[in-house]
Amino acid sequence: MLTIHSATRDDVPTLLALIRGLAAFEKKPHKAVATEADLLRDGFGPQPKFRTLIAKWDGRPAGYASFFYFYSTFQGRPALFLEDLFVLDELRGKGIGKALLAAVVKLALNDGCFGLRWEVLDWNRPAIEFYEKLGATFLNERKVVAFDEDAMRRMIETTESGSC
Amino acid sequence: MLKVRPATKNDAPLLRNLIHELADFERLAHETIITEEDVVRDGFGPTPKFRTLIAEWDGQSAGYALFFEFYSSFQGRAGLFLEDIFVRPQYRKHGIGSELLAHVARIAWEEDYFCLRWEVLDWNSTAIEFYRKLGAEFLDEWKAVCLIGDALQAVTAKGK
Repeated sequence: MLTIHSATRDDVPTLLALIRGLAAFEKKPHKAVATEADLLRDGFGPQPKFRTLIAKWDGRPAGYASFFYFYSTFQGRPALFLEDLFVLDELRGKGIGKALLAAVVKLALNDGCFGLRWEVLDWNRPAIEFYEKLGATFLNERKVVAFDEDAMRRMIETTESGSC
Repeated sequence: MLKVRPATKNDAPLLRNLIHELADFERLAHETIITEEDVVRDGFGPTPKFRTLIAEWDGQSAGYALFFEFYSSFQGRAGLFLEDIFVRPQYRKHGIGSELLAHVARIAWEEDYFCLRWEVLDWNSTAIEFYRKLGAEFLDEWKAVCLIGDALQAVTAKGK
């Protein structure tokens, strides 16, 4: 049987294991460098930077969704950004992912958010089809861009008046 | 001469206009409904949902950058998300975009964010080239997805 609850500090070890499970699934295990201390500090302090729902199947951790607010200047309203949505491989096909997504959407609607946004890897066909069936819109003309710390530093150094 | 400064509540009418000008440029004017009241409430209240820098050229408003925090569960650290960067067409080619981006990068660096992230429209080759030259990484395997409007309601119904 499926249950979904809001994660508490006690769930941090479970959450970290699930995050590492997601990173392994995404073929990026080396990218998951977060520690329990990071998650406690950033997720369960006085001003949490993210929120998490944990799904359990017959009492066993089965998956999770982590999310936070972002802001759309065009809408003039916040939305939720779904950073992670993950179900353990052996527990797929039971509707757990859909139930997690629906629970996040309910929170978004209750919070007055205009929508929910996330990103999917272009090779993850089952996920893409799942989102398509749910009526999600693919913002195909949007490319995601980033500066890592080295690029940030170069940007500051090469722009004389990057100083404030 | 260029000056970059943080926006204040008094800039709300200007910021609302700049946002609508960016939407025109992105051919998304029909999706853009933000009002001056929205800007004041969400940007300049007790817990602002975004921060803004305004660029002025010889005292005239020339552009802006607007950003807020996001979180990476893999990194276990927060990053900055640059929601908007825009220079008015008549003020381009003065390096104003670079300066705005450098100011945001400096804030990200000084406040210990692990990265600065944003999105660019795939037909905006001028912007893409500009970001590429600055050493930005394009995360091309990621597709942006959203649920809005009726689809949002439908998911909760199906989730029952």
